[in-house]
Amino acid sequence: MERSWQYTPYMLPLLLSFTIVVILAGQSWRRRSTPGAMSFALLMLTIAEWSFGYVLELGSVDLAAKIFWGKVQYVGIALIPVAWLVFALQFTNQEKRLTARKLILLTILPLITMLLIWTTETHGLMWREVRLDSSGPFTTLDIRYGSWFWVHATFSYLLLLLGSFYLVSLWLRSPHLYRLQSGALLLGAVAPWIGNGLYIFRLLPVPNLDWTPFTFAISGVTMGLSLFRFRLFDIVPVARRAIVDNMSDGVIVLDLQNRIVDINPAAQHILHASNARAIGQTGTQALSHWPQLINHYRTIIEGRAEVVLGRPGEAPRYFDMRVSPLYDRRQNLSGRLIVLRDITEIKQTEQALAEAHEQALEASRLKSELLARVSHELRTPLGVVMGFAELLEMGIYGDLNAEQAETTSQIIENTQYLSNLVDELLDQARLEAGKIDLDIAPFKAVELMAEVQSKMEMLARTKGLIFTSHIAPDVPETLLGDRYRLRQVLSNLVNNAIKFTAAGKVHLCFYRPSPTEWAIKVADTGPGIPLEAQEHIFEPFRQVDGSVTRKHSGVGIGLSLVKQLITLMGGRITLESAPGKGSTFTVWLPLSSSSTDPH
Amino acid sequence: MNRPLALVIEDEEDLAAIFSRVLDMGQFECKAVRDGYVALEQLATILPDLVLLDLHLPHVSGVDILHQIRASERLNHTRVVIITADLVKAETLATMADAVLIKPIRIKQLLETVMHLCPPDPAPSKEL
Repeated sequence: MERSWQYTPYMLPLLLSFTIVVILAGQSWRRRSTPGAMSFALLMLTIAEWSFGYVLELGSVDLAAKIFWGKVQYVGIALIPVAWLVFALQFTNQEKRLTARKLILLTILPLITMLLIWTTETHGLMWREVRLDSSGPFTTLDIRYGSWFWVHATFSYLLLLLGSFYLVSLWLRSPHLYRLQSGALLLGAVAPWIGNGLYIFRLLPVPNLDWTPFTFAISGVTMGLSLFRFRLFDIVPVARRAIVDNMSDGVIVLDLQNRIVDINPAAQHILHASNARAIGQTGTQALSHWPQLINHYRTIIEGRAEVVLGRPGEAPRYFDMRVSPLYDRRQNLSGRLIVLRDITEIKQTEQALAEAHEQALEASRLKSELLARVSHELRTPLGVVMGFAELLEMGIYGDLNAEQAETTSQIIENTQYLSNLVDELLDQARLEAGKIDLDIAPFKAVELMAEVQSKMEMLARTKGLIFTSHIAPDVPETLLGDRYRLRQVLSNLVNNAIKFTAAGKVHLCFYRPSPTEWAIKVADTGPGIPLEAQEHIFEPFRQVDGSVTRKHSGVGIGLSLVKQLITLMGGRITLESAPGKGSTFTVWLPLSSSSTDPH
Repeated sequence: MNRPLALVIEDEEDLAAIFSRVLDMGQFECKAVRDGYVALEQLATILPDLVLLDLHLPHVSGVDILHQIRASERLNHTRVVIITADLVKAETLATMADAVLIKPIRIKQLLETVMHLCPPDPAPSKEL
């Protein structure tokens, strides 16, 4: 009876493995940007091709068909070892060993094998003799192999061995935490060996049945498990290697026994340890040079510390050390991760900044001190000049003629100016040194106004200006503040207004712009202040321009001092002015709760 | 007529001269010393109505002299006017003194202060 097709129970697992590897090939093809995924897809495809050919060989009944499908399988058979090795190299991040030239050399032999299998009838180099074996439950091919087959076999086994070697060594090197992933991989690496060994040594119930495609399917499934279940490609080891090995932070993984299970090149560099020496050692051994580090990490499960690492003769380096716990999938503590980040530059910058800041403070302090001292030293001789000039003016040393009286009065006036200047410098120095404390007490608004008025009215009159003042009725009768400093501020503002106004009037007014504030307004009909000068006007030693400075006496410290005093009082000062429109300075001060309402 | 007695304690000779002159105008009998130690010796023997006190003095500071005066039963009627350029010290001593004048001082101001502290006898004094 001529049958062209037979069913064997072995076809089912073969078909299953075919399906699986095709799916795996598709899945990893979709992730082909991940290192290793492409060669994995290729490997799966070659296995699929072999399985596919083998299914058809098993299913065929007549010799010619069996031989045809037997030959078809050699595309996969010849290429699997190459794909396997490429995958192993890429997966273990050793692909730099795989140059294009080597890859071409590696494919020469498989190509020869493929060529020879299709022409084997003429030379018998692959198959010396092929016959149909019908002794078993179904017909199989009984093949006597030719000499090239053994070259091919040796070559294939060498490549498979090499690939498995890389995978096994990866498993051995793998940190404990990644063992499960790489363990699955190891099973995948070992399975084809077991299957092929059984076939070669004819240890199987059906002697002519090659189990290798099955075992490659097992490899595919376990690796696929790693791939999808444990996200092999995502975490271990290619991506991990790429990230962790290239990062500039030192990474050390310790297991529960404090043994170093992983240390990246940066950490090795930091600790002057080599990978070979450090791995497997306890942290204490490997880090014996750094007792400080040991003290920090020994008991901490999670934390952060700043450590200084330095060997004799080397500048110490600062590290930000973070310790984090590592948990396995059941949330049991399985180790600790230590990350060391070099923060030496940051530290040095910080220190330099701190020093610069310190120096600036010191310079400022010295300046204030010098200013205070100079001011103080100036007061005594000024007092003497002023005293004698006043005695002279009083006629103590005899009557003065008109010219002498005028000269004496000028001496007094200028001495008074110098004396005020010294006062302002001293106040400025004390403000900068933070030595001015406000003397807060209740005072009557009317009295403050009267004090300023009495001083300024005459000054305004001598310049032919009109000085007016007003207190709005809603300003509390009693205010709380430093009356002396407020008087200083007001005198300064009104004095300025009179000084810079050639004609017209100066108006001083207290009012209440809001329930929580009271304000002092000093308005003049002077030349006004250009906008560009307004922003600098409260800075020390500034006046509108040099010409004004020469024309109007004053060093320009007044407004700066005024602003600082007002700030000290918790208030603010604003300026409204335009050239030709006069200037209005407004001081806004908080109304304290103890200020009493007039009603 | 009994003129009130004033002691000027000031190490700056010119200032001491000016102060003495002003006090003289205010009808005070006036003594001047330039050294803190000498000042204490004087205070042990004379009973001034008024002391013009500089704070920065050789040997014994004005601060110590002020404390001694305030601790002395004998001198409890003595009025003390601090005349200093040291604002900080002046502020801390303000409550112990009868008046504080900050250098440089105006003669009118000094005169007003001392006349206020030690008013002249009802008998009309010479014109200033």
